[in-house]
Amino acid sequence: MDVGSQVAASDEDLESWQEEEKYENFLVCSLDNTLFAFHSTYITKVEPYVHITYVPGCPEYVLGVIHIRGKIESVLDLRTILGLVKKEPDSKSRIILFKTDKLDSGFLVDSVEDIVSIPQSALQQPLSSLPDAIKLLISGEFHYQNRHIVILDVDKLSEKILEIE
Amino acid sequence: MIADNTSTQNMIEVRTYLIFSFSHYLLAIEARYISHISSVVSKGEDDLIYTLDLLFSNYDNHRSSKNPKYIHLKIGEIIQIDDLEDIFEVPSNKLFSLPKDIKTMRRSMAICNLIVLNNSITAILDPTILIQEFTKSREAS
Repeated sequence: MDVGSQVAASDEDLESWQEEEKYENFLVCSLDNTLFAFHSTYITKVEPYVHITYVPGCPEYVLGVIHIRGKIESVLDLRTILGLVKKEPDSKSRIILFKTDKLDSGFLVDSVEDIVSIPQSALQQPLSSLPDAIKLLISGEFHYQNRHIVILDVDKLSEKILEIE
Repeated sequence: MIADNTSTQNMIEVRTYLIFSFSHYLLAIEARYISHISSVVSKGEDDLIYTLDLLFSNYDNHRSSKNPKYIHLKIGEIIQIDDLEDIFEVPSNKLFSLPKDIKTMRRSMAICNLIVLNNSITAILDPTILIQEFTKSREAS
């Protein structure tokens, strides 16, 4: 076997391996100077920041409602839910609309950085050093541009939000 | 006296809402609940006054106006507001329900619906529910 055929065989192996490798899509966002990700299956839309109308009588983590293309959507304050310091929204702020079996709402985040495809083999379990309260809301981690990205579990977040009530 | 002004125009019901401010927010109340609005109340009416503080309890920076106005409801109670802002006739197709998750999470039922006019949202206050909740709150304390 000459070197050429060996390279061809390696290419085929690589292609075959790539076909077998499954990828998952994530929306990478920033909150309090930390990058984190949401699995794309929960995300229905990403909207630029628009004025949020406060609805009196709602708990602190409910920022209010927005009117988007003829529909009223609620917006939740992810900073309050995660116990982070509040911040005024700016031009980079985004509203991430999501849907789970239990909740259909939006999260206000500081910015949306990227949409990435991550091979399943690159997904890691959450670091054991994380505080328990946060660890319960995380489904895993991955590396992105030499940074650790924490994957927030939207299902678990929804459960936590409804538990607060 | 603010008259009831519910009418039907081309099958779209139109209702009159009074828009008022409280603690930097705009809220609406349907005119049919209102008897009149005043700048002062008599001493005998003190016990009938309700403020909206309970609805805004999340906000430490809430400050009531130094020159409040008073919405006198037909049922007798009085709601203290910061100021009267506007009166709108709102067609029913501009009224929206609260999102389902807000209905689940809210701690007060007093906000019943929303008005969306010119892409601006105003929460509608149901004064009868508000009074019921305040009465329960007063009794509990």
